[in-house]
Amino acid sequence: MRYLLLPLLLALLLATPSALFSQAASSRYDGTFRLTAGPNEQSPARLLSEIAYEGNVSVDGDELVISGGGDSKLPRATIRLDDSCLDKYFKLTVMARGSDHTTQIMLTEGFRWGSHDQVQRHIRRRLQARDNFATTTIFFHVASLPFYLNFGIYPHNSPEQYMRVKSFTLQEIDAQTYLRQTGQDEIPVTDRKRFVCVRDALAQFIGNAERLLAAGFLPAPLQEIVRANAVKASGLTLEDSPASLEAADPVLSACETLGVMLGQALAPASIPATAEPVRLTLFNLHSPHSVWARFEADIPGVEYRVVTPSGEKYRLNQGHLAIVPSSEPAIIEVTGLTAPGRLTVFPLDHHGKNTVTTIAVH
Amino acid sequence: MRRLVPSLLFVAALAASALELSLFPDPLNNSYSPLLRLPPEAQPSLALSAARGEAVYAALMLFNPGPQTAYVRIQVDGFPASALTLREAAHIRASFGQLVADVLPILSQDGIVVIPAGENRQLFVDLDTRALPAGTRAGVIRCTDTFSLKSVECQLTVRISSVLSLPSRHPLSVLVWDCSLYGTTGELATNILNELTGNYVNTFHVLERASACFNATGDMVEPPDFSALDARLDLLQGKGLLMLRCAAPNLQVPPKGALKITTEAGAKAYSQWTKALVEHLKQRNLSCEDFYLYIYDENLRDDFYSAACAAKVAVPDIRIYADPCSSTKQEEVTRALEARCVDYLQYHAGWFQHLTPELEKTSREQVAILSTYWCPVHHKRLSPSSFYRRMGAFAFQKNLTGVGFWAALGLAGDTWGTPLDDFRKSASPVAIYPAGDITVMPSRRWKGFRAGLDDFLFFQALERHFDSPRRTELLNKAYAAAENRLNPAEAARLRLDIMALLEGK
Repeated sequence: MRYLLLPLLLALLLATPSALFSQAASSRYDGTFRLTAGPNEQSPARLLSEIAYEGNVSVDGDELVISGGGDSKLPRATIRLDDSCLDKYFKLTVMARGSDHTTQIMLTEGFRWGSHDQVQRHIRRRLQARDNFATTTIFFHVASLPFYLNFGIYPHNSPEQYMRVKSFTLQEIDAQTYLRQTGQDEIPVTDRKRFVCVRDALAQFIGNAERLLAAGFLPAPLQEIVRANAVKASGLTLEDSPASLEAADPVLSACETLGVMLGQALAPASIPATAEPVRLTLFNLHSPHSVWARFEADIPGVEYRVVTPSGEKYRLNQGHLAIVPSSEPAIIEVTGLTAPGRLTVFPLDHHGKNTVTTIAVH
Repeated sequence: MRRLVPSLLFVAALAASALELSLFPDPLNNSYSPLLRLPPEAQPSLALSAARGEAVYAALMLFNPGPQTAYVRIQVDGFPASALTLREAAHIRASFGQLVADVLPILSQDGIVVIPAGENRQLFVDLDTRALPAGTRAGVIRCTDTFSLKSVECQLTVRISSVLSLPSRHPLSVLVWDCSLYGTTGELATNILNELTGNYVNTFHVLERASACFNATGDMVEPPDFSALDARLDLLQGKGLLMLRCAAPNLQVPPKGALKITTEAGAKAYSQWTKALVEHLKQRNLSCEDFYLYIYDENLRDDFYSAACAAKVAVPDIRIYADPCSSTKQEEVTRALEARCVDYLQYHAGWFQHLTPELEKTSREQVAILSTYWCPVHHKRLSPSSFYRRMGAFAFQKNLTGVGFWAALGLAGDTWGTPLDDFRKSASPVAIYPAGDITVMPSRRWKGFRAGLDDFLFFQALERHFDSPRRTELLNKAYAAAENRLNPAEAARLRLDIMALLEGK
């Protein structure tokens, strides 16, 4: 009997993955495979032992098969892109077919499809019911990690539901090629919830504050403000609720307000009317890239000029918009503050509700 | 030698930081990062072909690879200022987190663009071909770093077709809900109007109300005060169709009461008011052909029906506008059509796409203008090249006679920049930004809408061309554009192909 069992065990061990995985609904969350771009036409069937999946996922020949009819609310296979894909552009080509439009290719950024992770940016392509395999091409940009490629179906309790993936290829492309392909979607960058916007904006400020303080070009009063705001931002416990978001807004608004200096001091809340030019120095405290600052005044005839390091002055564009770089201040000379009124300046890139700096002219 | 080395290093640093100029593939794409670095062109050149009257857009990208902010002087040779406007593209945050390069201000009068280290700035080329004769014109856009005095240039060649000329007036009734004229006067009002008419808008809202007073039985006891209405008509009369939103019933019964339009007294009052209005407009040389009563917005309920019927009874020639939306019941539309009390039907685009064939047929047969409109709550996140531009192709595909969308400069109290549409929960759909003085600035979405209106004219010219396999092929592509199946490069190619066919090439 012992001699009979050994060949049986050997046969089981040598069995094809197909035979092993076609058995049942299984679940794996800890796939170790990391997809990279390159000459990489993948046979999903060969990958199954290395990728994460849930529900009725099996192989049939060289095809990956995801089926409905089981207990899983979202049978799916999940492949994580390698971290080296960050900030790169890709063309993904998938050859697949599905039983109906519930079968889909889903790219998820920052969250795993079907998990309890907060849903963030994603790109979805539904397959149409077809008898033959068809190629789906998706152009995308990896803006943050982790980033996943998913194949799955929304089941409607029908065992006839299936998705078959024959192959997929990830190819890195340049930004220009990517841009040529955009414009086909009505919303080029997917919507984010207010919670995600606020959370990310606070995190961005905290990261940027470290960079600014290390760079050493901020005047002392602004260093204090940045430090204080970073402490407040770090101390926030943000939840996805209206009350929490409302409570966080004053902190976020303060973080995103431009640093405005008049001479060596913070710009005062009020200045006397003057025929002399008023020179303001603007600092972008919250963004790792430049932001546009918009000037408005209710005093007729006010003009704005950017002052270069060598002293040349140039008028701002039609919108009274000045660029405030991330690593240098912008010096703006304001003339014509000759009557009482209000001068305001605010960034166009902000999530907080009140990022306006107002200087009253009396 | 010691002195030479730092000098050489300095020169090398300058050479290394030369500006990089590249062509941006889709000028209607507003979704790119300020950090985007495109491969620079060795010899940048833009060769554009256009119909006469077509609004031509192109975009150049300047990247500053140096360690300091660059101040770059932009000069254009070879094109009159009336034809070529160079704009910057400013990024602004939209409601759901998108950072879009949507605002298109004209360059500084000093011609300077400021480019921080390691960032790009776009030059949006806005060409008005109405100011150019047929033929080919060549010029150059020169960008000079004011520090190093190094320049990069882009050759610009524009060929204006001698065969295809777009009409100055659009055949569609083009309506945008621009309420910013309301309350504006003087040069600002004129500039807003010029921005609208310059982009084919030919149907205008008139919000200024001419209120009257009635007694409890519906007799007019105080005639309408037309002074505010007249002031607005002074600006708009002769510019296009007038949509009298002021026509919403406001049947005051002093001191504080009001009549319900659904009552007999209310209908009587509204009839009297309508007669007084028409009589007043007649004195201004405006006939019923010149205006529509825009009684309610997105409402075909009983109050609309009562008011529309009362107006028609009072003045049979009067024309009524209505815009069925998602809350409108099909029976309400059918009732209005059966009673012949609607003449301009503008369906919400979502509603229109689910219209029953019978209702669509009846609508087409009965109304003077059949139109659709788009009214998304949050605008800035939408793609200019697909969402906005597609409206023209959609109108063509569906054989509509009108098109509309919210393009307001901002309602009273709006300033742009402080929480624009984004954080107030109520959306401000600005598509044209107030500069803050008396001028206005387009958004890229507004340019997308205009591109769609031009598409419509191209497709219409194609449709009128004699039948051929090539015409059929191109018409199919026009329909594909309506279904968002063309990418920007294919959409640009389609216009060129249509022009080539019409020119007999």
